[in-house]
Amino acid sequence: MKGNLLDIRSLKAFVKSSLFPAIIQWPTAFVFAVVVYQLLYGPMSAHENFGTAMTWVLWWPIIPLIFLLMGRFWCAICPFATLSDIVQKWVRNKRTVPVFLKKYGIWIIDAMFILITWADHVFGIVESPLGSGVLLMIIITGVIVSGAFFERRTWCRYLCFLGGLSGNYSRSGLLELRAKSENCKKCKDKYCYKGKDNVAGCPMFEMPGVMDSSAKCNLCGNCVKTCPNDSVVLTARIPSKELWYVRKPKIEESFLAIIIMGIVFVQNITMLELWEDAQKIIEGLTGTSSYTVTFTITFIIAMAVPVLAFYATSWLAGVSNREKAISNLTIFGYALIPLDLAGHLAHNLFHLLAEGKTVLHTGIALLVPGYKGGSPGFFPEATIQIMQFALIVLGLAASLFTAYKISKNWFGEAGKSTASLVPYAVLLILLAAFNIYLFTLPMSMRM
Amino acid sequence: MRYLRFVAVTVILLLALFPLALYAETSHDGHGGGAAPSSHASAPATGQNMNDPSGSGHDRHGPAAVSEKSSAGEHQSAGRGGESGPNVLQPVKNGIVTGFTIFNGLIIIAAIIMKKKLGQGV
Repeated sequence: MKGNLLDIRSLKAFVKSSLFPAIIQWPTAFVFAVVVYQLLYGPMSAHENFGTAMTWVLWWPIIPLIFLLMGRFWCAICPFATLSDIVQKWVRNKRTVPVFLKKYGIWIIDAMFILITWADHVFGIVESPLGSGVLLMIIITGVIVSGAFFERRTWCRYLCFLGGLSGNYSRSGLLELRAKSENCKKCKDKYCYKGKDNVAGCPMFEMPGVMDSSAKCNLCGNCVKTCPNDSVVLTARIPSKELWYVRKPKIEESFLAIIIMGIVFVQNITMLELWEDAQKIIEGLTGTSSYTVTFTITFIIAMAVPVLAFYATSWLAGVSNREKAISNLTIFGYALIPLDLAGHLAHNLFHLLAEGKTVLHTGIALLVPGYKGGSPGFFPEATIQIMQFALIVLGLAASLFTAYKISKNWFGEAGKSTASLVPYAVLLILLAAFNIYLFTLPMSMRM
Repeated sequence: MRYLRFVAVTVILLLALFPLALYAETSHDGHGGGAAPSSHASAPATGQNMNDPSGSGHDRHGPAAVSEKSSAGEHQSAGRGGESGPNVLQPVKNGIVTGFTIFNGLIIIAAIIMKKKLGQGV
């Protein structure tokens, strides 16, 4: 097939070898062990803790970029997944996944993501190495439950709090793994799903032959190893292209896309100077100085605003295309994903480029006692700001084009595509403008 | 679906443990660590964040110095092993790690018992 990256012999040989993805997976697991140890027993100041720097200044900011460039490949090498595999191999319980998880897993993922974001602010997890350590321990416990009881990577597919985010972002990603369906239809073995010899079947419960989304595939390469017909195809694609043709849109995926916009707003707003003034206003209105109350109110408002705005836009679009508001919201919610990703990347870019050297300094301090470190930033703030604006503009362009394609695919035949598109285009421009405005304001650092 | 009972109990315990563990970690009354969560709002510019004895003000709940990079200056490193002040949280940390280890061990034991009684799932 044209553009199949697996036609590159060396790449195919590497993916087929037992070194893939182990050669990346095991060093990642080792670093993770150091990170957990540092968070729990290292310096108490986030400034000086290698675990905090690795987690919140390197990993967290860079993860959306990995999803964009490599889809969910992180999930293939994620230390939690490695732990789940180890526990599963050891216990060999492998129960089938409960129906409620299959049915409501994505809602649980959405709720977990919101809960962790809320808990981070209320308990100050990011600024507290021990808090971050406890969070990882809780996730480890969840992973052990999943690995000890259930088959494959149940945690990654149905429960990981990053699953919804990674799924949505990977759909905007550059890489696409599929299979030649004409071969798969004839295939009786289905080794890609069942596994063969020492290679497990798809850990994410997918069958490449019928897969039409990159939301779940973690590019672990198992299907490449097991397919007897060499049917698996890995191609590079235009970012966001998958979102143009979502045949079965799901409310939970669109809802998460809209919620993430609110979460990025919260992350930005709470790092701004005006956050203190906003807190005082809310404290005045509620008559309490409890940060939990103040933040919870802000959090709810920040998430509700994009949801309500999107719902109102969907209602407006429904006036012309005759769809229910909730149906329009489900269909067009995917158009927000590129802007989400751009906003998220732009926010994280500040942490990565203004604080990124902290990772280096804390890492050296681990090995060289008495090391004093240096400036944490790679670039001046003005340079970072320009990059942030550029990202938002790119994200807006991708979102607008996605909305255009969606409206054309769903309402083109009825001649309602332009009328459906206009309200969403206006909303997307407003959301991008608000993002840009937030990035013009000075931010404080994470650590 | 007998095994769902095991899972349900585990999930409930997990959910209960989450706020409890975080509460134990953030409420430093008696542990001498720093500010409790409720005091975050009144920690404007002094870096009175839990576990931040350096007082650097890098607290998103009260950004002390926006545009800190320009004035951030040298990054102070404590070197290895948590030398940033007396580590009074050590017993709490040990308790948390021991608690999680025992809990995870029990989960694995429960899973092994289930497998012995019901056989392997798939």
